[in-house]
Amino acid sequence: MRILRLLYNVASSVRLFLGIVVVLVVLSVLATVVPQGYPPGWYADRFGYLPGTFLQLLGITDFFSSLHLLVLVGLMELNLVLCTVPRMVRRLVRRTHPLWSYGPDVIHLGLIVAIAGGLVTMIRSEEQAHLVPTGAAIALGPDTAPVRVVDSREIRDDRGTVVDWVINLEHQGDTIELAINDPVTIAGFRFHFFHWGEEPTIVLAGPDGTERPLLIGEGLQRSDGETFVFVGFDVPAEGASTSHPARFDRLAPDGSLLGTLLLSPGESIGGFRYVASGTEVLNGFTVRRDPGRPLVLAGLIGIVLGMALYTGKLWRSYG
Amino acid sequence: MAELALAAHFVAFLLFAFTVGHGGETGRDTGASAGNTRKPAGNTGAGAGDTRRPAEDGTARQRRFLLIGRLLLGLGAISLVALGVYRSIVIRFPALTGTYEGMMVIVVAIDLFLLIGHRRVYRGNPLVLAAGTFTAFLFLVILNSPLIGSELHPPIPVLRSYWLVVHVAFAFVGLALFSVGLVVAILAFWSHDPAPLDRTRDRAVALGFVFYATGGIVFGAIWAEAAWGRFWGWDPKETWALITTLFYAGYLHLRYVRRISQGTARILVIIAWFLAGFTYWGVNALMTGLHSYG
Repeated sequence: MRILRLLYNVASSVRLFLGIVVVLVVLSVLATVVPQGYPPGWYADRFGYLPGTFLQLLGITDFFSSLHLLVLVGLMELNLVLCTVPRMVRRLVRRTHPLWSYGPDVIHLGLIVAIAGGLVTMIRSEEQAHLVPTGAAIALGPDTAPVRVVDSREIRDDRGTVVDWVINLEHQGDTIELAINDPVTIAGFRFHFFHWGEEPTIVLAGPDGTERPLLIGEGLQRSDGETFVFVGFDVPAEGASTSHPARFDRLAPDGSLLGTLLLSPGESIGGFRYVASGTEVLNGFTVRRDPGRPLVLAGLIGIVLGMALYTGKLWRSYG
Repeated sequence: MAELALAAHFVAFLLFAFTVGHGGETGRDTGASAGNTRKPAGNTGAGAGDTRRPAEDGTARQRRFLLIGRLLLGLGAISLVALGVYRSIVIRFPALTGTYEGMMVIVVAIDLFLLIGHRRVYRGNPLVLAAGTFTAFLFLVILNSPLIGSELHPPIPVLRSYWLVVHVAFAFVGLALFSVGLVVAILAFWSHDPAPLDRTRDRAVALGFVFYATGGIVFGAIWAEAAWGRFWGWDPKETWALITTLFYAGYLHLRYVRRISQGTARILVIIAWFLAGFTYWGVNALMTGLHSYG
């Protein structure tokens, strides 16, 4: 019983919160300085064997999606719950405190809900990113009708300034307008605009002579699992022609970057010969399903409400 | 307009500094808070020493100087607001997308803090007025220097959101209040009567935290969800804003729950401002991410 009491006291203490804050601050600072997401050997080459290994043990090399961060955030959530909920309940039962004095408690509650929503997002959310030409159809799932890109355009004001980009999507006969900063929900999926513009494309001819267009970001997989992803020309896309070498990222089967490759017109890659190039308007959008979103939103609204109450508390205390 | 604001702040600073130099450091001679003798309702211990009744030994000249200085601060703020409105009309969108406008918001926020908080927040203390005005003046010097380009460009489509206005404006108001906190924290080390400066630091930082966390983190997250489809993405700017917010949150807990000493509090506020400053300027200069435009 005494041990449980001790654990409760530690888990609900301000000291633990401050300790988590210090560790989070230090690790986050390091994680913005140390390049993230490279294979283990890269850190040993760059920083030396011991420092490289140490960085990996600390989780710094992929901190923002590491277990270390998850544990710290989970501990903070536990600390907030144990610190805030009993205190708030006690104060509510006594009914001796004015409304504005609940500001910090409401902020904490908002934070608890937002972190919980963030954890749900981390575990349960699905996301697809699409960069497709006009006319392309996007499959949302086995039981959902696909969404087709009808057209897209740039909107300019009377002075010629670009003020918006719009992609028109079609789903089950309805046309839905998707604009930047203005997401839409289709069949339970939220669509967010992220790109509109001309992008490089190349045409590759297969061993049997059939031509295959390759958009930027698309890849060719070799029989050994290695993938070559087209990432652009070696010159600006404007005026691109078959005289411009195409640049590819070489990816290992696990997705790690092995290097880059330049392919000149006429040369072959994985049995495909580079025969032509050009540009095409591509429409970029993400498609997400995130069960954590309502929780995060509710938590953020709670924080804003708590901040407003806290401001009232501050102002009264200045009296 | 920006030059007018610079001149107004410079003269106001001289007037406040003159008042401080002639025995007005503690605010006893200003008469600005006469009759304001209520004990603060703060339950934190941070406002210790607040209860001093303002003495009436101030000279009429010092009171006049303080009044003229505050009028000049108001004039400077109005000229900057007018400049902001003009720039917004030119680009047909609230002009808040560049460093130039950011500096303008910071200066106006400091001015408003000094003018609105005159009675309630720092009780007309001329040293706080001088320190705050000097802070605003420094930002105006940078604003008028070649370091900051004043060219006007219409915002790119991704920035044409009203969330941008509240996100950026709130974050800059927070940074402005943190800057006031920084300057009074530094001055308190040398002041003969640091209590009013420490009180102002506590209040500026607490209020700054509200604006910074709400605008920089919460409104930023809501806009990010609308624009990019996720509330948080560990972009360098987001990460550093979170680091800054966590540090200030830690400071507030240490100050109001653990009740650390004034000396420690001053040092923490100084460190915290450098984190906030790095988030604003350092990340833009040294790192690239989703907050890098153009």
